[in-house]
Amino acid sequence: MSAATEFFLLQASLIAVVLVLHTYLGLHIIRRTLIFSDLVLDQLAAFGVLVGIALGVRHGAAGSYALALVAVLAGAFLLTALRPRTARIPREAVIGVLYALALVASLLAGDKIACGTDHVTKTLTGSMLWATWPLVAVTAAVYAALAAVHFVWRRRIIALVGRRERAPGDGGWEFLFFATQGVVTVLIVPVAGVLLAYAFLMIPAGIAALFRRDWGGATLLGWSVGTGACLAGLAVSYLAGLPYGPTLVLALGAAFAVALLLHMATGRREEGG
Amino acid sequence: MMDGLLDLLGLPLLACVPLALLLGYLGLHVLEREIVFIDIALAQIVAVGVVASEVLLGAGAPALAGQAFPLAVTVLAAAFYAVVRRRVRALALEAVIGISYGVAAAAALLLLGVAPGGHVHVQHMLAGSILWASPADVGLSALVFALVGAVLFLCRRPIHRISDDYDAAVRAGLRVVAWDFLFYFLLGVVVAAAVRIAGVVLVFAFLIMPATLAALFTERVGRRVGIAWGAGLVAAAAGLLFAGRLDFSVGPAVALFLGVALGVGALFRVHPVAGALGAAGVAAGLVLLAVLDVGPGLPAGAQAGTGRPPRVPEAAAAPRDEEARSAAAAGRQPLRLRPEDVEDAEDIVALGALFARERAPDVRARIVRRLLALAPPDGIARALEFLESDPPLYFRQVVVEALGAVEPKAAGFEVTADAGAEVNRRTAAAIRAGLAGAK
Repeated sequence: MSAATEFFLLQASLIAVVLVLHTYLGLHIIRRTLIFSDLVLDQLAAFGVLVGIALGVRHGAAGSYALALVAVLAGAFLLTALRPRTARIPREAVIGVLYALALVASLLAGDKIACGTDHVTKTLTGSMLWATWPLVAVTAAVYAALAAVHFVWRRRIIALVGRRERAPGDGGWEFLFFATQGVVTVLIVPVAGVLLAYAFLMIPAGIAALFRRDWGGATLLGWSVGTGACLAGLAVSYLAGLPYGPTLVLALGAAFAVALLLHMATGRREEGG
Repeated sequence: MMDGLLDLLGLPLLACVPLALLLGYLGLHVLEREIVFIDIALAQIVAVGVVASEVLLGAGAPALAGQAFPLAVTVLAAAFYAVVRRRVRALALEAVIGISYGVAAAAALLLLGVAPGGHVHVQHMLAGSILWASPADVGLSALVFALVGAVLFLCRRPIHRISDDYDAAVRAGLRVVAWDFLFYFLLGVVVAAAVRIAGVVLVFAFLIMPATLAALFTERVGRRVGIAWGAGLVAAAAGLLFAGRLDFSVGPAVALFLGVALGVGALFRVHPVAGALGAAGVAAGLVLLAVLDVGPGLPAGAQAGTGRPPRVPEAAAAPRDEEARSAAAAGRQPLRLRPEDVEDAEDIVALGALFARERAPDVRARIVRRLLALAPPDGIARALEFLESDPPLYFRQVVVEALGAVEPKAAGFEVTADAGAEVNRRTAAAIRAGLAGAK
């Protein structure tokens, strides 16, 4: 097997593994309109890494992962705990405020760290350095464990969708949901960069939500279209020598645009509904 | 010292006033429509327009031509959002806006990869450069804001009805797509003008936080506008003071204080006493900052000899650029080499200094290529240093290719593996041994 083929296979398998859980989580996020939650967690993971750098922990070392994990778990707690009590304020606004403050914290921390702005930019764009087989294995294992948890308790977590008032015990399930999202973020962002991780989560789920109202079928649809778009993006980036991250996001975006047009062309019946 | 304070804060505060007023008002609509992402998405889409026009027309294009692209993409985006809101029911508009943000950001990154000096834009877009807002900038955006404000005032009734209840507006026969197009277009124009002086973070904060604070307290539109405006202006003054005294970037600092105001407001809702205590604490801290001269009171980057490596605050990028531009205008040579001049540079020492200073992989890769052409031994050493910093794959390929032209051993590099990989370490060592032997 040539190096190029192996490299391509490696990325393709990582994407295929990652997209299962991302599509499913993304469906929750889209159906509950918590779009910003992912950026909050991304930004907090980046903030954790930045604090690590200030303390002398190298980017990518185990300590750096641990700090990012602490930051996203704190973020998951805040996302669960801070809910507007009045219907005048959409929950997304609170999440947006959290995002802004996390970004502000990173920028201000960057002011006081040597070469801080480079690190801030780096955490935003990701290093786009793709994986090794062991990383694929570890990621697959963690993702499988998380997916199992979500499968076993799927009813409790799906019940959160469409619920405006919080029932007793919901807080714990919601924390579990955001914490899963956070762990996934910590794993994927150093590999894929914030932007691609965000696209993995939102775009396949967005495509699926346009056509399906169920969960299983929507996940399958999102996963297949997303994986297909990513493979096409990988091929383009390899053949044209373009950077992976942005090319993959654009490929996913193109798939979304096609889906949106298809939906508008066929969805006249729903008008005014 | 108070004079110095006024010098430092006067103009930026003046620049914040129209931002606080217009964005505070628009924020109420954004909140009602549950489209919190809209500002970040529009800013990113406008940024794609700016970068595209720089890539296609070159940085020296006349200002008017440079505005055409951003304006065109703003029109497209506004039409897209207005139509999608009407025709797509399966997805919340917020989700579509969020996805369009991701795609626009990717497009900008891809374009920046091929644009010279692109990384400066990334930092600029994020942090803004309000500290260096020139009176002309402030004047121009004030004019734009006044125009938009006037149109918004004239069209306030239909826009309010749509914000209040979209479906009711549709049933009443209002031309929602046209009004929505107008609203999103105006929002895009305001965001584009505001981001230029204040950066995405601050504009987002001005849009969302005062409106959220106001919604905590009242349902009446007039009162909400009043609360949002007051909070925005007070937070702006506090943030500027904080940034000036303690040497932080201005945009994020003002955004921080908008967040603090919101936090204090939320405390008030929990318990008035807690809110009063919080407000008193923040106020006391600010008075201390104003009275005591604790910070250096200098723009970031002005202290020397702190024993740390020289840092490159994002804000400092702006005056450096300005400085170089004014020097060039006056017919003088700039003192330091600028990233965009790498291809014409002859001075190996200056190139080396820029390489040491610069962190953006695109610029570093260009420096390495220039050095390889000018002085192979220097270039080879820099190329190895660059490759060992594990730059993104694309730049690795570029540099390995250029290195291969002067050093056949470079064929041993495996670009898809990182620098620590055995094969790459061996190749680098072999090339270094060859260099030492030649000396």
